[in-house]
Amino acid sequence: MKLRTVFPIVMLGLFLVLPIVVREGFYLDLLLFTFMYAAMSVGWDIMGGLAGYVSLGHVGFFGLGSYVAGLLVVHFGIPVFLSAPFVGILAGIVGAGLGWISLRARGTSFVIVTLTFTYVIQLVALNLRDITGGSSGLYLPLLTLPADVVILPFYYGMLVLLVVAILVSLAIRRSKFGLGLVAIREEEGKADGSGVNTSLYKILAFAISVSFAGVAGALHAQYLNYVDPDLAFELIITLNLIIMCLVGSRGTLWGPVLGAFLVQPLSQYLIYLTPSGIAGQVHLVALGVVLVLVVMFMPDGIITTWTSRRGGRGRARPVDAPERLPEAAT
Amino acid sequence: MLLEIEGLCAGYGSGGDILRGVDLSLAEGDFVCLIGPNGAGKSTLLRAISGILRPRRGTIRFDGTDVAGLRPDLLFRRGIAHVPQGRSTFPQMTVHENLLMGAYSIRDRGLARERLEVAAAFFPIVVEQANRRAGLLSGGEQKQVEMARAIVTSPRLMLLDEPTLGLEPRASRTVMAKMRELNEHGVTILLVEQNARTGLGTARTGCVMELGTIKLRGEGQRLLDDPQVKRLYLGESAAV
Repeated sequence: MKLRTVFPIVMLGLFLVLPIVVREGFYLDLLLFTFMYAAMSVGWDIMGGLAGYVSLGHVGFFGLGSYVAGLLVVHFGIPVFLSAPFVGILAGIVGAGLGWISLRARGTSFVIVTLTFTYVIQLVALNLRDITGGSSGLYLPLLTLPADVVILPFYYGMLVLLVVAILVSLAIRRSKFGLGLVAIREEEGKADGSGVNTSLYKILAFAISVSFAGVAGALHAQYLNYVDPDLAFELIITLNLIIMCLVGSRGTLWGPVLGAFLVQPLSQYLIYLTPSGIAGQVHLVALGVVLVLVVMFMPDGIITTWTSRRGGRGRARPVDAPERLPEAAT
Repeated sequence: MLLEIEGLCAGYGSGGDILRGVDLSLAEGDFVCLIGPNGAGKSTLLRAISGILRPRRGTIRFDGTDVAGLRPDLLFRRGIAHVPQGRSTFPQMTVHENLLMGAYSIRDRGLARERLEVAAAFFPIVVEQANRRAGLLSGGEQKQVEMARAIVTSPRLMLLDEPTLGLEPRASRTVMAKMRELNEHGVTILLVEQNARTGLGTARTGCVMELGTIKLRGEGQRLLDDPQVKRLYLGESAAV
């Protein structure tokens, strides 16, 4: 087997058994958030990397997931771990609706609509006081687990989410659907002319893309036992996803994962290092610096830059298409 | 007749007619080259046939049915493949992926595989360079990829708009030879060529277009020898 098959499996095995060895909450918490961001980045890249449509609205779906899961557990007693997959599907349906409005046109209007969506849904959460608790937020019941293992369901939950995200992304990249998305990114008119149903594909890609944010939001809400409009719709979450994808390489399977595993620990480390009074600001400044450096010196991201240096193919393969010709139109 | 055009008029936007009553017919297996000065309406005619431009008046019959005004994708499915002027590959995709895009509308996998193999047989370059980015190929190679992509759909009529434009002489000879090869295998071809001498030399039949109508039609070689054509399009004095 090749390294690129073996390495992820080894890493997965490692992460599975890690909590047995490492009992310190700090590291498990760090990894949990890294998994969460990696899963959402992989999701973001399906739309932003493969199809080339940048979404600024992923945090809207993250918040939507947080609230829906929170409300389900508060009002109906449905545990988050049970509802999370359905919350993801719901986020996908809402995403399809938003995509139906914004994606039938080409180009930049999509970016604006996704950004606006975040604020609209935040306003809804803020103003439906009777249901969402308004600005004071929503408290979720604590899980009845001993303090030293309460983190584990979230750790494994986020890890499962990440694995599912990677498998979905891989499947899309190997499919005709994925090829169609790349064609849309390359030139939508030509994609249209080749028989790609561009509107449908974009809407579908966006729905899949945001569903991971929805699930992540659901788990996140229960992890903190709390949702409020500021926390759930923090724009920095979307920006994090974009930076992670840019650092790792947009449009590649592993780029977003690599980006998340670099950026998230780095920013947490900075928060840990700096005095608590300024920690929040310092790590944001650092994030900005990272973004500027990447855009200036490595606009293609780590993986693409690396593969093109080695292979001389100019850019990494935009899609993991089947190698042999006959496998063609699968 | 595979393609029968009568009294075709078309133009862009609110502008006047570019095509002013074109009459043209192609039988199955024909290889027709359109020549004519800039602005004669050669590219416009190809666009009208492939459905990119909606005709204003006149009829276009393809295989017996009137297809004037149909959407490009429907015409494409009926077997009209248009290879437009300039570069039309997906530059960031590999050559192989470009070819797959040609097979996109084919639902039957077995059939798609078969067609891809046929395309690969005509254009070995799509196998040799399968994993290179299409944008990194030379102009002539890219043109071959475009043609390969077009024949994946197994078209009955292929429209080629100045395929040799901007190519170095050897590459342009290869492209011309490939066209002749396709024609020998039964593909009907309508070619627009700026280089009248090569175009008429390769095609069986030539048509001279001027001011939106077909002025002359004749056997390729005979048109080349026609004194009027010589004077107007080949840059030679009639006395030669």
